[in-house]
Amino acid sequence: MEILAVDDDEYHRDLLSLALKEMSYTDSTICSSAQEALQLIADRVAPFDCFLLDIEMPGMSGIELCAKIRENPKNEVAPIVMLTALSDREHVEAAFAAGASDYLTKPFDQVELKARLQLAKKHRMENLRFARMRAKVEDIRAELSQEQDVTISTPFRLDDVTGSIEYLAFENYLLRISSDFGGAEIVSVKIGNVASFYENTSISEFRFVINSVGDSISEVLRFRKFFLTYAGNGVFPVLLLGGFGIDVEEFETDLSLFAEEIEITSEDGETIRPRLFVGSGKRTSFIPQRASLSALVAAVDDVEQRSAMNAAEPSLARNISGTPWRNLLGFLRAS
Amino acid sequence: MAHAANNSVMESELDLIRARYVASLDITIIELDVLLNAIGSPDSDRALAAIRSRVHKIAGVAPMLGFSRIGELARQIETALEGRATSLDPGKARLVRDQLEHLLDELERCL
Repeated sequence: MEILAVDDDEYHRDLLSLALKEMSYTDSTICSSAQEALQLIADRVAPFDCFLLDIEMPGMSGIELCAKIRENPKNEVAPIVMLTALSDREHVEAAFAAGASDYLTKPFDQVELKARLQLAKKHRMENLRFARMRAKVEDIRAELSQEQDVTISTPFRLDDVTGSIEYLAFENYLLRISSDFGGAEIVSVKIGNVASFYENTSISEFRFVINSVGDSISEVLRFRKFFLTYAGNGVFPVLLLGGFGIDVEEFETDLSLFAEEIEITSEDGETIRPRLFVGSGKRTSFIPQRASLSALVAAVDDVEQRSAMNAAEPSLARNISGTPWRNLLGFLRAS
Repeated sequence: MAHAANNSVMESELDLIRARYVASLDITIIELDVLLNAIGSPDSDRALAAIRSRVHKIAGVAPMLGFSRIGELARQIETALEGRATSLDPGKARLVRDQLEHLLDELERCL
């Protein structure tokens, strides 16, 4: 894995260089400023596989650099790990919003760095897999023979949806937030009849519906601070920031209004519209870091149960225990 | 055998970085001392910003080189100065001065 690390502190650069060498990341490049990093990126034909960015640097900050790196499509799949001595909410939120995949708080030891890099490596492999999958789906001619690659439970990146981040980045964020970040709340939205869409439409139409629902959620929450992701199975976990709760009924009503124009005509000529459900919010404050994932599980379970009760869709009701998406939560814990 | 030799190479490289860091501390001490004396002066805001920048770096690097107490003290000062756009109130200024004195004492012990 070729890594580009950027840090303005010379001792930190030396320590990073030493640690990376010890971990056998011999292809690493280390530089001292965002400008130098951008030049190195521009000069290369093959993209870097992973970035380690210090946040607080003179001139262009690591967060701005992160956004610049993400602007370039060739860096789309590379994990970006932010290095920061500041574990405050503002910087971490800004980093994730700019496209960061994870962060590491200074000072860190070698074991911690190694763990984050192993995770970054897995993250990159997942991203590559999703990118390949996306490319396949976009290839209409190949679509019919490759439909089995996107299952109903596959989480995928929402395209151009404000506030959306990848599912794995969402999990990372939840794992890393601390009780100091009090006031965050997770609420999930579910397309109750997601199985109808999956079974009666093409993969590109299915993705269109998922993306449109993501857009609607983002529109309804446009005055709030939030992160949104798609977890597969028609479920969209939403992390509401800023300490304000949400009126679930009002949210569900507004969402239904925004989403009422979303419809797909199936191969049988039937018009299918998404039936949207919102689960009750689960707060992440004043609980240990890893319990934030439990809040995510609880929020998704809640909306699955609501959806199953309302929609009475047998294939989804069966998914409440042992849901395929639940497997994803083991991704970080296994690292 | 090779692993042990590799560890020993890494340890000696770490020792070199640590030695360079310690050698740079006399300059850091002088700078922080000057900035400490500027708290409360007309240049106080600029001095506080400069102090925050220096303790931020110290808090990140010192513990990784084995100076955990220095890291802790630097982090306390950074936290006290976090997000500060205006002058400190007299009580807070006194607290930062005291914390900075402690940090300077600790830095001098490393020389």
